[in-house]
Amino acid sequence: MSRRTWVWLGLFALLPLALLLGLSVGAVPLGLTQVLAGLAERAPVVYEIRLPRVLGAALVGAALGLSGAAYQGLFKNPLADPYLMGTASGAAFGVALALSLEGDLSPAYAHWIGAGGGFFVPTFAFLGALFAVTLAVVLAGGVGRTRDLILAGVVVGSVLTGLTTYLMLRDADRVRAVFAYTLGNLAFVGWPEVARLALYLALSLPVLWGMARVLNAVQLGEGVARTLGLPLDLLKFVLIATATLATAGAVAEAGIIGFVGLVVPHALRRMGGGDYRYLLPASALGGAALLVLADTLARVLVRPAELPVGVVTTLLGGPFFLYLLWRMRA
Amino acid sequence: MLRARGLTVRYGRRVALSGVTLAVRPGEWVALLGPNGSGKSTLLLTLLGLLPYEGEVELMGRALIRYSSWERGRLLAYLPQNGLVPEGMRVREVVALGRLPHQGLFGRWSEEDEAALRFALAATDTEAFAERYLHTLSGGERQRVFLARALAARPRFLLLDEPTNHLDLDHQARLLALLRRLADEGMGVISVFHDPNHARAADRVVLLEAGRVRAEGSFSVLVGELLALYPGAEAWETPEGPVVLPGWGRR
Repeated sequence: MSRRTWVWLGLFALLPLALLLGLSVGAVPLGLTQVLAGLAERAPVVYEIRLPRVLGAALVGAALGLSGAAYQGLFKNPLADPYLMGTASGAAFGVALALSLEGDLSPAYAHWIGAGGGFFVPTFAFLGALFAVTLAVVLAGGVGRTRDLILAGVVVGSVLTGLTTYLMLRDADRVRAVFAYTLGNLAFVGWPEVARLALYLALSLPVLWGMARVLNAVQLGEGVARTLGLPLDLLKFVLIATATLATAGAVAEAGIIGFVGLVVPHALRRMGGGDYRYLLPASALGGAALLVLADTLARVLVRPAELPVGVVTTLLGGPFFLYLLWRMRA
Repeated sequence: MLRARGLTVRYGRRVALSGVTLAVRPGEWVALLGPNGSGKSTLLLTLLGLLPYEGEVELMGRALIRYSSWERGRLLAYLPQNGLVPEGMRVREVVALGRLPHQGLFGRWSEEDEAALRFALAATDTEAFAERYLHTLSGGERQRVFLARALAARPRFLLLDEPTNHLDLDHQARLLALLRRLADEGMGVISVFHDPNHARAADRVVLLEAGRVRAEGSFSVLVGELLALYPGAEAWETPEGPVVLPGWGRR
């Protein structure tokens, strides 16, 4: 069997295991039979609290892994991540703006809204992310020149981060709320959030997977890709729009979760090669499994409290990334 | 026929090509020579439809801009001067990308695709490492893989930018023989060469200077022009005809 087959088998085994683990771990630890019974009987702890949360983690992780792989391919850069075009800073800006519009905040409300509760804040985060990427594309003069896109994304990101900081500094409660949001948190994911996340992924996964050959060709250089018949400007636009949709959806529902979209495609490329027909779907599966595991850790590491899952992915992802770089050199 | 008439290309204010006229028939091999910056690569990119231009470019009787990108991809194949090496892709996967213009985004891999792939691997002597990762190969081996990728499209016209780059002498000779054979079998070939002697096997040489065609003709006829263009070079007579080499110490 080829290495790629092994990787697929591993991923298909890992995700259900991670989901089961996520369902069984929590304030009330449950055994496997209790989990299955809880699912069958729709017991509130399993069905209303844990199941949407682990499914939400899987969907967010899948979106981040998928769009991370797409961006790494499009920009031919293994350090590209889903937030490269400004989605993260745009979403944070949207949240800060939403909270400013709310007027004076009580700390409890700030906590609730900052953790992604309600519909208002995710909507602003989503629109903020779309706004940032649109602005970057406009500033770059369209999608034609890839290097200009990266530069514009970085500039837009910095400016929006500055504006966010300004909005936060006007009110101490906002600092806490926006900060909680930017660290990423899956604690408030319920069934409505899962439904929205599933919709975003159902739209973006087939489109991006269908672009696998485009990304493969782009690896030979954009000039060559064009001579291979690809209407590249149109395809790049579709790629960026779709990856942005996936990322914006994930960020809107779960905040800014770092390293998943960077590390997962990178690791899977090392394991099974750089063919995007494999890498895109594998990164979605791998991102899903990784984020479910990370969120499970976030729930147990400082029990009875919880860590924001973004802190866990960063703490795990940073050293892992260094390890990859170190292995590459060796 | 791939034909350009009165071709002018600008990079901002700088004029890279100025009123270039050129025609290549199927079965003909034209070599482009000229000093660095004379517009050789720009001419190739323009003929491929990758740069905006003034003037006319015509492919098989129809204006180039009237072709869809897919049609153009089936008719014209391009070997760039410095190909990018994708990370984690196998030689076979890279060469198979040459079939993209025929397959489109969602087409299945057909018998015809497989035959073209085998032909391309065999013609470039790359079968032995078809399953290896491209980034593990040497520069010359990579160059042959890129050539295989271009050949896999089975194009009517093949446009190559310094295809002998990185190749050892044996594979330089093989490449020149392969281009000769492809032209004899009916493909139109346009190749840019760094070393003017590589143009000896071509049917015709077009000599560019500062974005204009300075002279056109067979290699042996153009030796005088070459020496005028490359002041550091000198010509040597051999039983096989003249060769042009860098002179040293006698300038």
